[in-house]
Amino acid sequence: MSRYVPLRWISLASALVFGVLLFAEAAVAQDANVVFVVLRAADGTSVPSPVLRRMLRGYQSSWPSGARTRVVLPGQESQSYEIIARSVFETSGRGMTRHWLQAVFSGRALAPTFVSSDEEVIAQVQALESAVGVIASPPSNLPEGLMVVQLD
Amino acid sequence: MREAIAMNSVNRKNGEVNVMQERPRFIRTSVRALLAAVCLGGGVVDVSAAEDDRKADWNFFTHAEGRVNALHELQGKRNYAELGESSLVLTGSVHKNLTFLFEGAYQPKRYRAETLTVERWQLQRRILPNHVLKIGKSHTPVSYWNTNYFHGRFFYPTSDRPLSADKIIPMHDNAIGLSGHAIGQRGFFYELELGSGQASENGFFKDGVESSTVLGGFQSVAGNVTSLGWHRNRQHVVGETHDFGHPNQHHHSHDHDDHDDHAMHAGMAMPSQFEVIDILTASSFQTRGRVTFLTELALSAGSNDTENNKAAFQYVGYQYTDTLTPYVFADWLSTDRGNTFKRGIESKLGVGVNIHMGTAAIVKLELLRHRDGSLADTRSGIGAVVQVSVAL
Repeated sequence: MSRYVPLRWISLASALVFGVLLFAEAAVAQDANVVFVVLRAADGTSVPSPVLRRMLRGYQSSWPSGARTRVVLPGQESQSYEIIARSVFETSGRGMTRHWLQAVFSGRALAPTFVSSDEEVIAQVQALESAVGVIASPPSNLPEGLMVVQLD
Repeated sequence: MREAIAMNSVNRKNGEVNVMQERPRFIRTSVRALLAAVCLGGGVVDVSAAEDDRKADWNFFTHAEGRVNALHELQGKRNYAELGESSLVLTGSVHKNLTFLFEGAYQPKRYRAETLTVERWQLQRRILPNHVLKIGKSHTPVSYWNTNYFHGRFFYPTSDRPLSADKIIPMHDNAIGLSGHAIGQRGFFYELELGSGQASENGFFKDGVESSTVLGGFQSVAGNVTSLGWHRNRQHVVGETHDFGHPNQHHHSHDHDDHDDHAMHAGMAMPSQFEVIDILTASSFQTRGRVTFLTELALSAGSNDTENNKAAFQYVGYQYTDTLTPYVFADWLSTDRGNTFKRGIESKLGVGVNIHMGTAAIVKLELLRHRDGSLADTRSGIGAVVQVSVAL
């Protein structure tokens, strides 16, 4: 190995990197959709959207009432996966998964429950105490004790 | 307090380590009370357990990398490719207000003395909404990098830590602490810790409380973070360190990563002196559309007018696509009259790209200009890094 990597190799490597960028896949930006949060009525009828976003992102681990939050999110197989990621996490579905991987790795939050459809999100929120979930469209029939709010 | 610290140093030199007798009684009492609170419960939140309160998850992380750098020749090192640390991370809860975390790491014998290490373990007891008591071994929570990325190459925005995290800020501490987050509309958060000190990384309060950490800041709904931190370590090692390979054996050497750090704890002799070191940090993590900024600043000062170090790190990444994030970074470290470091300036200026391969793998390609002023020959050299990190 010579002491200095020749300048032409650096130029070539730089050109390669930026060439990859130029021909890479289309940019990820898309308009964020309106999404809806599913929660138990007992956990709060007036929880502001910023608080709900903090909980869904793993930045806040407690409801205003004091109960521990349990987050339910759409998994990769769910049709809402990308929609929820854009609207709540302002990134792609893979970005949302990586976001939560880091939150769990850092010890700040417990892993959310990933499910395969909006219906399963609702079912999990009903089954888990103090759970909060997010869905892409409001259901026609909502189980008793649950409520849906639009995420501003 | 300064006198007490000075007395500690004298006693250590004389082989009379008896720090606990010199510590104020209330500190010992406070630590024991916190320990009891964490272990036994308490606080105002409900402690009843239900079946769905018990859960556990695991993740596996590993990485491999190759580095070439013209400076290696000057430093007497070789360019290399190696398998990095492989970590198993277990997290979960045993009831709704008691959670745990464990991280064990493996690296083959050819790369470091200890093949298996416990990098982190922690019990967290929620005592109030958004407030937890913590006990265990973790990364010193005094900067954004240290509280978010830990050992995880998978999460690093660049291929390596900033020089401040590498050479100024102690990596681990065995500690007990209190933290809070999402407080108020601005998302105030804090970390308060009393620790065992840097030289007691593998001993839990064996010399009493030897380190203190305070971190405070704000985290927006979008995740943007601004924080200030202070860390005092009364067991900062000075003196005869040149026999241990890298002079900074208690931090993570960026070129050989964890090797020196773990080698130090694998039974090598301890240097003869300790001093108090104070570290101030400022961190900012901001995302504006597709652009991410990460700034890390650090200052340190030793009690004997040593370790007067300064460091600054700036990263800017642009999310071009979901897969590609090109980035640039600048890293600068100035050491002045240091006993652990040689005087001089070390700097890096780099450009790279993060290539996300699904959710499980990331490839980093990086070119950098590296100047290492801690050596007599301060010429700069061009380096290149290829790093593959995997998360399962």
